[in-house]
Amino acid sequence: MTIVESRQGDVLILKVKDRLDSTTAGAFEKHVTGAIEGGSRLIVLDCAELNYVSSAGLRAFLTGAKLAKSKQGRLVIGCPQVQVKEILDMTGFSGILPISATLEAAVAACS
Amino acid sequence: MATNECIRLTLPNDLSYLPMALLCVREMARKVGFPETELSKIEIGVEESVSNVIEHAFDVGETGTFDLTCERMPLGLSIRIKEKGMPFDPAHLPEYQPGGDLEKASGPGLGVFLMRKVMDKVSFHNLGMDGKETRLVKYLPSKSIEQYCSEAELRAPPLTSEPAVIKEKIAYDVRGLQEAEAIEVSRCAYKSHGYTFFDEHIYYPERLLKLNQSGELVSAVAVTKDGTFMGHAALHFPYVGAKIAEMTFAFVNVEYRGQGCMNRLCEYLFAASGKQPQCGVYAYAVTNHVITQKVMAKFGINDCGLELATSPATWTFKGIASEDDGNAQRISVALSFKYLAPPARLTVYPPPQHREMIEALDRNIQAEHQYMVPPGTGPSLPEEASDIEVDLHAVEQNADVCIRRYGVAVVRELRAILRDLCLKQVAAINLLLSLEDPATYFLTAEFEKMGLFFSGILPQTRVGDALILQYLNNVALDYDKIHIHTDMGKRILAYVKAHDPNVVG
Repeated sequence: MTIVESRQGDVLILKVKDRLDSTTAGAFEKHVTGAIEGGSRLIVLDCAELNYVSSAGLRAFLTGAKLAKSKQGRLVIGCPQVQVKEILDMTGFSGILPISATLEAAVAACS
Repeated sequence: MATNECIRLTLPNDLSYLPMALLCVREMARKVGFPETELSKIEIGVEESVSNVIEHAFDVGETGTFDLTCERMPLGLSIRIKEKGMPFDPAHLPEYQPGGDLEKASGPGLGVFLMRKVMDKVSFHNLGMDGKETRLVKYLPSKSIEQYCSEAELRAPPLTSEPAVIKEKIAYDVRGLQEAEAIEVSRCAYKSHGYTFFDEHIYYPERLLKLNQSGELVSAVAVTKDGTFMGHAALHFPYVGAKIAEMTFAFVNVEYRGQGCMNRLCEYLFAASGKQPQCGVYAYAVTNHVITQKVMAKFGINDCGLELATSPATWTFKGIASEDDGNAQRISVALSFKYLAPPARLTVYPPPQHREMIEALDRNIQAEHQYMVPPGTGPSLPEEASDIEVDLHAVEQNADVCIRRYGVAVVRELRAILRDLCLKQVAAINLLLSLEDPATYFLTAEFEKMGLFFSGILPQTRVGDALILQYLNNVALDYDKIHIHTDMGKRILAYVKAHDPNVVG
């Protein structure tokens, strides 16, 4: 799992690559919470190259989203792949976390 | 790849080994033939189970190992994760509820929830001294009958005052299933029973073929001389090495009822050389009509029990009028059995309160055993966890519980299992106890104190000759709506009712 950072205005874009599983979710969560605590309240998780997410990854999404909300911010999931979207749908996370099909829409939803 | 090909890894309880385990599972799944779109799901199912084991089955800092086994099955992949860690039952984790809002969303139970969603079957087993095992099953994608046929083709002919039954006798053959007929079997099953068979495999032609090829199912079909499909019946072996098989999936197309198909199908199955079960066949016949019970009786498959409320009330039979139209209660089934080989004379320990009935049922199925009273005033039980197998059928809302080995705390363990099943809103629970184990003589009364009551007997089960008790979880049941054909069946009905603690007065 790798994370590449970029910015569009006030929105921090975290491009998450490869897998979010029990071995990588901890590092991911630390990165996200660190960014939020460091002042980045508007976060887009660019999931275009994320091809696997398990419950550990979902819990990390949840932790990040709750922390962002507590800081009057927002965390949006952007461009999830089909299999990741399927996991988000079957666990009901599609109804809890904002999800956008494109990066542009995710940034717009975040702003 | 060979049908029974299996790989086994022993891994340390360290999450850093997870990628290795998942890579192995992924490649095995690919070898079995799963498409790329299914591989991640299988990995997720295994990850959730493995991470549960690593996080909950061992103390912090404790080193241990677990076994991961992947085995090809006729219909897909079987995965088992086994460890000898601390007692932990993932089924007792909080139940994750999807939906809600961000504030209320939480993680506990999410792993088990996801496991159940991505795999076709998930079960947790306590193996006593051998530890605990999580079993996952994933079926290869296959088309159901609805994907083969149009809605019009599947629709049963409308019921009129005179069903379109062929009255004249026609010549037909009864033989084993041929590949091209599998789709007709599934279509006939759907037309006669809708989607009400417990076992969904009947609705998947490819799975039917694979099950016949593996020997788990032995199908017989009736076809006209010009090859038109008439009907089907099968023997199902519930597990590898089973000594008894269930007569099941018996149905005949409406227009061919009255041709004696079912009788000939049964004759064929009993004589299917090399494919019969070692000891006998059993059958469950619904009690909202007596048609199937009559067929069973005709073939000497005789009554040995009555399992109440085993399937949902919405089960209706197309083309067969129920004797109680508007009967809305859960459906009970009459259990019957026939030996295909002379039964051995066993030493059994029936509980005293049911000895007379058990002896009568044994005579009814032509068994003769040595009925003994064990020495002492109580069971002698080992100081270890019991080995209790629980098979939960979520769709039917029933469960089978089998005590394979009694341990010193079996009463407490069973009470916890019953409570867990009741909280899961399982309506009917059947408990199998070995009559060959002296402890059954003493413990049956203890189990009955929990609300379990007499159901019947069944020979040569996983635990040998078994006494069956049953438990109903808040089920409304009118005994007058249970229809029984034979005299012994009626005697069993009266006996069951007399021992049912839910019957008032």
